[in-house]
Amino acid sequence: MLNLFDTHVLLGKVKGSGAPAWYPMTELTKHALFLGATGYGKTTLLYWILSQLFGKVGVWMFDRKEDFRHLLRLFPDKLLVFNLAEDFRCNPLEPPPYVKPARWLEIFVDMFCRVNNLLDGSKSMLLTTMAELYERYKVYAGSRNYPSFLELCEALKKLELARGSRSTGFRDSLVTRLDSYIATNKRLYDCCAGFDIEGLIAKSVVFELTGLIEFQANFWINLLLYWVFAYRIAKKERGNRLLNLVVFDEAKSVFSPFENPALGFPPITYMVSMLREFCVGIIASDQMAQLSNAIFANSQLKVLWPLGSGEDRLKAARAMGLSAEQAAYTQSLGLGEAIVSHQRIGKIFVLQIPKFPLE
Amino acid sequence: MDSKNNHPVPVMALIEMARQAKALNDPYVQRTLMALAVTNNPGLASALQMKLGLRAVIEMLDPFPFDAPEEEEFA
Repeated sequence: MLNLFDTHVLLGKVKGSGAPAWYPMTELTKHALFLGATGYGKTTLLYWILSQLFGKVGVWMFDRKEDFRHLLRLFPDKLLVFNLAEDFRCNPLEPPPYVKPARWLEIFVDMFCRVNNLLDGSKSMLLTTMAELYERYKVYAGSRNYPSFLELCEALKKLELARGSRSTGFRDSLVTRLDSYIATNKRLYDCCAGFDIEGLIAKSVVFELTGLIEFQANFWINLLLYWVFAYRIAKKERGNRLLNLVVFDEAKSVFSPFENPALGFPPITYMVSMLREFCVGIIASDQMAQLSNAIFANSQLKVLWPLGSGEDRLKAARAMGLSAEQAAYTQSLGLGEAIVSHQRIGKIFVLQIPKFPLE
Repeated sequence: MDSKNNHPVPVMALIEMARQAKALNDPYVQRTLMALAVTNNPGLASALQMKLGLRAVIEMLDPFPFDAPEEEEFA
């Protein structure tokens, strides 16, 4: 067996030839998509990949089910675990280092409005209110004192608007959303200066989302994803190498198939295609294949386990270019088996994934 | 229990099934075989033989529809 551990990760064994299936780390910057119903082995494959990357690159894992904290038993010195609802501190209004405040303002407002399905009127109001707060706090002049989420909400409430006007409706929509964030977890949103996120970028960090309501979990995944994307792009570290890997399940929370045309193309669409130049890779997984085309088009490695519905199987099979026979085989996969579309070598094969030591 | 179900499976049949299960590399068949080894149940044996027979026909008519790259291709 070849020893490629310095440059590759071992995925498992090829069914038929018995060969070890390697994947180059640098190719992870071209992203990976894992699709399969719960219980078929997505997490097992993730465990194998992550355990080979800890200490080599920064790995951020967004975890809704407390799956990844178990890795602490094997890697107690290499892994940090935060529960966002309990012990994490971050001010979403603080731009990442190297990112201009005006750029972060655009990114944050766009992301917030998408996650909360707010349209143009609210978006414009949020943008101007945040810009005024940045002015007041002298953020544009270089101050490192930032308004908090709570202060943003208060500033919106204090806007003087004509009673019954459309602007009042926009403001009410925004305040309702912001209030619901703050009401459910005031400590998390009443934060002017949070942790040193830049200090976490080269580390292996689990961000647990348990304890957050679904819309808040989606908000934090999107926020921290945009944070790392904006940071890497602004830092302009280009090259053919992997510096950061971001892992999350429920891929639909970021790559939603239901984009609102009124909001235009989401920045994530072009960010994902740009990321490979900036050394950031994504592994996104989901139980369903109903996702935005951005992730299908931009994932070089696709791994498929049995799926729950015929519609999902059809979409996944099309996206992976499976033949009818290959697609039919999906439901005959044995335990620990998955179909892999490995674009670098241009082959589709069945991967056998051994049990992970924690299982 | 029906006395017919207490009839043990011939050892040679078990060995043959084990050989076929190994050749097919099918975890389902292997699990069934393990259950069979524990219970020595002819009902299970019959189901297993039927599955093996069906799989053998399927494999003959419809070969494994995937590539099987060698290790050097991944390097």
